[in-house]
Amino acid sequence: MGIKFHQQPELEKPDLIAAWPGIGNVGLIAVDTLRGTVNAELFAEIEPWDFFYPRAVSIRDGEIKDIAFPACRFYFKKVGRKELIFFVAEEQPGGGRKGYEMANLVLDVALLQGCERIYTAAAAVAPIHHTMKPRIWAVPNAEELVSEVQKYPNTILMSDIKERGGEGNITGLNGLLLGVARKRGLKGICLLGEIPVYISQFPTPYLEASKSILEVLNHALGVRIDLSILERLAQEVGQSIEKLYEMIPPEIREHIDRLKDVDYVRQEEPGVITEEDKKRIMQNIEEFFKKGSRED
Amino acid sequence: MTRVKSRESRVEGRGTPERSVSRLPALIVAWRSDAGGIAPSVIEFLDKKLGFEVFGEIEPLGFFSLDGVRIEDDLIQFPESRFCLCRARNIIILDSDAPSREHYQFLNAVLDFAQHHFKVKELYTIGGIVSASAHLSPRQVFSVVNRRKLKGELAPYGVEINMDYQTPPGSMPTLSSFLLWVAKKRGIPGCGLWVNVPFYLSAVGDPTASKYLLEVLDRRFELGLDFKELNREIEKLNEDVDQLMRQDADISRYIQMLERGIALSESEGEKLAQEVAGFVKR
Repeated sequence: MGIKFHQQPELEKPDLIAAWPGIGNVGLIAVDTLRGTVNAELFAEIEPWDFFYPRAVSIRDGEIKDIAFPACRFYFKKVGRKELIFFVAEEQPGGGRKGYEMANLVLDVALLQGCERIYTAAAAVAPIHHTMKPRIWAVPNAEELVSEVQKYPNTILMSDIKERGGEGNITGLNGLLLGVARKRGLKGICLLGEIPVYISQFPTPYLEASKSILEVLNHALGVRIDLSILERLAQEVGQSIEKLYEMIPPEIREHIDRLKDVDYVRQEEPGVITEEDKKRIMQNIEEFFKKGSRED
Repeated sequence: MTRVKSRESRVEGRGTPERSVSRLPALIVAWRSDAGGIAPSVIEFLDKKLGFEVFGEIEPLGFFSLDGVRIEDDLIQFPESRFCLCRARNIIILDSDAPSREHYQFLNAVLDFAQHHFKVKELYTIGGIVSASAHLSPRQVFSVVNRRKLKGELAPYGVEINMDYQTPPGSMPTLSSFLLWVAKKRGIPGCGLWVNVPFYLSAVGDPTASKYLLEVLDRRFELGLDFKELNREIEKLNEDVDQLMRQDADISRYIQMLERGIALSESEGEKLAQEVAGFVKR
């Protein structure tokens, strides 16, 4: 189990931004887009064989030439005065011990580079409509970061969601990394981009949520990253989502459209959509997609 | 945690494995979940003819799901990974279920044990691959090596040694390929030997395919195997399928189509496999 370094960047106090695949790949797309936009350089990777079963074998002329594993790579870039490290993984390791070990390896590299702050990104499945701008649920791993995230644009805390009372779960490495970081004395924040409950079932990425994450990251990191590529892609994907949405039977769409009137944040009175309504919407959507896949 | 348990005490007084043999020690790996049950049937045959001693085993904890047990043929099963020794031929066998987790660690544990206890210098994996061929058509043994020099050594045994392959999207490499790669990383030369099994025999076993693979091992390790019993098994299976063909015109037509290289539809293939399995197992 180890890390392979391709080069040793000279960094003093970089921020680490990490992402693994998850719901709609919302977090991964955001982080990987940022990495690509700033043209970050590869400097290290986690040796994958301890964590993953190989994806493919390549045999030529009767001889095994190569075997491919999901990649887990570190990149770095100086953006103005800001130093950034990216960790982008193609797959999440199985839960339990392996996840914990990988989280520690990522933090080993981060600490080696002098890192003091970590960001992860993922999706938050929320009762919102796809025509609404996704907010960011920010979940810090240290008390002193709460006041900081309250200043982020378009961002809420878990305690802002009335029915949650400040509680919840972040599944997978995007959450675990920050838990392990807390244990090792590293501060970090998980940025969860809202994805409409019904879109989380769609076979398309939800780039609007990735875009919201990047806007917050721009603010948090104090950098000005050009988001025009993601904005253009988000528009294209938005059109595909509209087409899929039109395929949903009108009676179900009517239910979904009621989400436009919901604000589940700091809601004093019961909204026009009840928990029962939410459940029914989800059941209808699931049925619709199951039926669709049977007809494929 | 000690994961590999040696049973050296059981063979005490019979000499250490490496003392009683002449050629370089080789490890043959047979996974029990295999198309047509080829690997287990080859190991069973070799055990009957040569006599194996169980020498050690890999503890299942950490490598297999131990949340419960699987039931097969009315019996509770438990994952096993046994090392057996054929003293006379300097062959070590790993007769094992395929692990369900920590694959890389498991494969390294196999090679650690084989190298430490037996100074193994060569690795062979054996298995079957399902093919759309007919049961009376000749089988072909394919090989994949992790070191080029082995190709020349396998060529005299009629093995197909020039295969090109890339894992198709949605599929995964076999555990044998993974093991060969791990062995390559550790500098152990190895080859995978696969024999094709007509798909409609994969549930009932294919003694012809087993024989093809055994013949390669027989020549490679100078085992002097006697195939009389296996030939009778082959005749019996062929007679069974022949009888089914006489009874069922569809089955006869499907098999004739395969003999002429014509592909069957999914439903035709399913029916053929079902009918053959039902008839042979009856």
